[in-house]
Amino acid sequence: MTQISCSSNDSYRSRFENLISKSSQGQPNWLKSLREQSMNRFETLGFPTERKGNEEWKYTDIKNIATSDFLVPYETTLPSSAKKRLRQQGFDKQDFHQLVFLDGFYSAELSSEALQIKGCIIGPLSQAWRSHAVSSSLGTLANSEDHAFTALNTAFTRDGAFIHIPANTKIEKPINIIFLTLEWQDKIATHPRTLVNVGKNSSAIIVETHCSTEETKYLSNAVSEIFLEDGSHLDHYRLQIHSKDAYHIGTTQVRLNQTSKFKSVSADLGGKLIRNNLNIDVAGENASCILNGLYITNGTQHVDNHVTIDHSQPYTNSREHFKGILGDKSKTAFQGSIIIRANSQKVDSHQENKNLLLSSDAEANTKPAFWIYADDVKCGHGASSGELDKDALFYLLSRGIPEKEAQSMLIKGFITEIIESVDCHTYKSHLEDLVKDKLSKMCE
Amino acid sequence: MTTTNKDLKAVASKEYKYGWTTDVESETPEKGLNEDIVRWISEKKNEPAFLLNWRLKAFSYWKKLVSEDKTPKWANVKFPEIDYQNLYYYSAPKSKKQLDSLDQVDPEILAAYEKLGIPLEEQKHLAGVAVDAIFDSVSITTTFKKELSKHGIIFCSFSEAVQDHPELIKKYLGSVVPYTDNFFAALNAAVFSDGSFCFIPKGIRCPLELTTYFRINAAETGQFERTLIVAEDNSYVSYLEGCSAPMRDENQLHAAVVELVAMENAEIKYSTIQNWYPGDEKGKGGIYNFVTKRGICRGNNSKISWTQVETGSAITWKYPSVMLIGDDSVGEFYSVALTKGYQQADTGTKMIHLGRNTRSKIISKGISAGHGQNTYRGLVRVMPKAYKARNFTQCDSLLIGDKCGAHTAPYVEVRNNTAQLEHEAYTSKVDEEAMFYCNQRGISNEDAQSLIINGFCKEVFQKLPFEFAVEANRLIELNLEGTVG
Repeated sequence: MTQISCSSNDSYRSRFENLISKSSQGQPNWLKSLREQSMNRFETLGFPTERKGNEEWKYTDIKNIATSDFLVPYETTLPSSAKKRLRQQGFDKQDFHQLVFLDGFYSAELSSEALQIKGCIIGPLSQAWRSHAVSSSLGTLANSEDHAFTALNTAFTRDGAFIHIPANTKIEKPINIIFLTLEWQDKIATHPRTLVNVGKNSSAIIVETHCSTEETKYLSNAVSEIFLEDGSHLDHYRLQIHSKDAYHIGTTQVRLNQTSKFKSVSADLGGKLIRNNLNIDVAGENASCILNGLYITNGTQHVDNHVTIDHSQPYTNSREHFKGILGDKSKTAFQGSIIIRANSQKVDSHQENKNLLLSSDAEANTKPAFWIYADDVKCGHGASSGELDKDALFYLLSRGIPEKEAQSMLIKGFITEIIESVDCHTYKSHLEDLVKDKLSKMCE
Repeated sequence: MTTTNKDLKAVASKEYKYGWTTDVESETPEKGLNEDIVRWISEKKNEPAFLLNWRLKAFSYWKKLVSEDKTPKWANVKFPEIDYQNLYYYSAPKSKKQLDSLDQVDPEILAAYEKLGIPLEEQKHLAGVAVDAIFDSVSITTTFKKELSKHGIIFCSFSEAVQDHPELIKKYLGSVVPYTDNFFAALNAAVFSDGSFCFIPKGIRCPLELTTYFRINAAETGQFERTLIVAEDNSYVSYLEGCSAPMRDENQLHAAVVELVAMENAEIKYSTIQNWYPGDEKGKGGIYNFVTKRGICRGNNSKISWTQVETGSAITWKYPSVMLIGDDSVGEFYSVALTKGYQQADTGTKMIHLGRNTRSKIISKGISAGHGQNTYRGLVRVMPKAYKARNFTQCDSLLIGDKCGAHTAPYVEVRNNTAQLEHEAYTSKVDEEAMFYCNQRGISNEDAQSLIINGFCKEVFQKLPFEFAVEANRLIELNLEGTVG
């Protein structure tokens, strides 16, 4: 992989040194050395900007991220815009257990009070650096060795959510982690980090929201590590509604132990250039996952979803379903890889990617791949791309429905199954509103 | 059905049955590759200057790729690095003068083809098939030439075409696969020795099936042939190639290039039965089959159809593709790829839609047994001007045994919203219920499996010319013998 110009690398190094000298007081030694290692690794790897033979980044050119100079933000006093934005979002502390981060810094004022369940921690990572649960697991799942953006996040992260649920506990209220980027004069970069551990036979619902107060230009490079112990159950809803000039790299690493169940529904509505990496380690027998996603793009938006499911154990199954609606000159990519290792017999796996193209300038790329090394498995995949079904449209028109309305009915019908897979009522209706909003803008 | 199966199995053992060698004196230059060898080959073939220049340009491009370490590494196959200096780049059976008739062909070579079941004597041959027989680096003979020339059809070896029709060669050579296309295409362009050339003039429907049979005989030799087929307006041709090689302990390189050009309303049907030596049961030896095949639908309403049955080679690495330039043109790809033992295959197709209303269909069936690794890799790309383009892709895999692998890596790239694309794939083992159903009706395990596999491949076999469909079926059966349970 080629390196970007040295000056840029140097600027990351000098910002890193600066950050360490200012903010590492009170941080444990393991964290300092983990940061140092990750920074070194990032310098070796450089940004994956190579355009030839770079399969991982085939459809996404991050030259603009690599050559931009992003400043490190400092903690500011709570601006009124943040409160306003949260209100606008309709997120209420009543409905959710809320954790709010402004530019990557924890805001106690906007967050809910600590939960009074024994052994349960839902709070900022920065208050838990010294806990064994953090030191023993942070960075063990997210791979800084091969991924420059993960290395960068590990080196620069200031804070993030830490969710630790003890065994046999059911968290009733959905947890809402909100990463909000504020308005800055210059371009900034934030590196929020999330660590989730769901104990044996426990269950929870987590909503992860990435948004901003203004339509500014910035980089948000988020990494989440999620551990599911035996028999646990987690629903993870990820909502990305960044500013229309924002770059976002979102990496989610999940490990599933025996009989655990993981469901993820991601929605990408905002941002200028978005790359999501969702990597699932199905590492216990009878574990299963459902990964759904939707992306709605217009203007010159670019959304790239990279999903890898690694079945290393027998009797596991996975379902993957991503749907996209593309307008204007937007461009999307879906790269799914399902790996079934030798001896992982009886795996049942299916992946699907469907794209609806509303404009002749839009571009949809799909690569649903399978790498199978076991014989007694059932695997299938499907992909399709096209415009609105002319026959269906005609049928609606013939029944007196105006064209615009008929179109919007069909478009809505196309993504309903993804939205319907959300099990949390409050979040679902919130997502429905956002989708409706975006679609009405596109169909104007 | 059952009895014929048994008969077949009695006749042929499980081993590779084309593995013998023919003892003929051959003429080869020194081992290794340099500019002198390229010049030597060109001189040997008495080539015009344009061709020598083209070869030299290709060679310097290839050298550049080697010096920049640009050997392709992206395919899902593993093999030790090839020492390009430790190969013979040309091998021809020694003959004293230009051959006028079949009587003058070395009887050893004739016997070799007889043994392969490819009779070169016209009177004995199945009606309706013309054969170009290629032995190591050169074409031995082409049958039915006179008959074909009555229709204005040119079907001859590449070297003859260079002498007799240099203007056609100059016009079309490299027009579909330029030497800059990829590493092996560059190598082939520099050192290609022979191959087949076929030209169907306007409005002619070729009355015979055309066939090229490739045979590698000499040791430590690379075979680099080039096939060029041009179908002018309103013409039709069906072409088939077959291949085999002796059993040798070392790996041999086969890097061919095939170029097809279809003009307005023309149709080219290209079928391959590839049965190069796959190596022994421990994975030693075998052919590296690194081939670039591409067709171009230049005219409106033209059609190119690839059908391939890939059972041989230690490593198969090829992606027969179609560039759909003309409006309403059609590209098709039907493939059965079988890997057993330690065979590896990374194969598939590319359909590039450029014209309006272009359509493509891809049916790929992969069978993996033993330690075989089988990868389907395909690309369907719809460019912005390809209004109403249509693609259907289906790639299924069948797994036999728990040591093998089946992989699928399709790329779908759509830049026009009026295009409709569908892709489906399924991977499973031989259905137990279907086996049970057959057993219940008194069909043995082995026959039941053969029936099921037959059904699995049927869609592709149906696309082969009749005689070869039977052969393909037999090949798969023989190759899978002994893999049950």
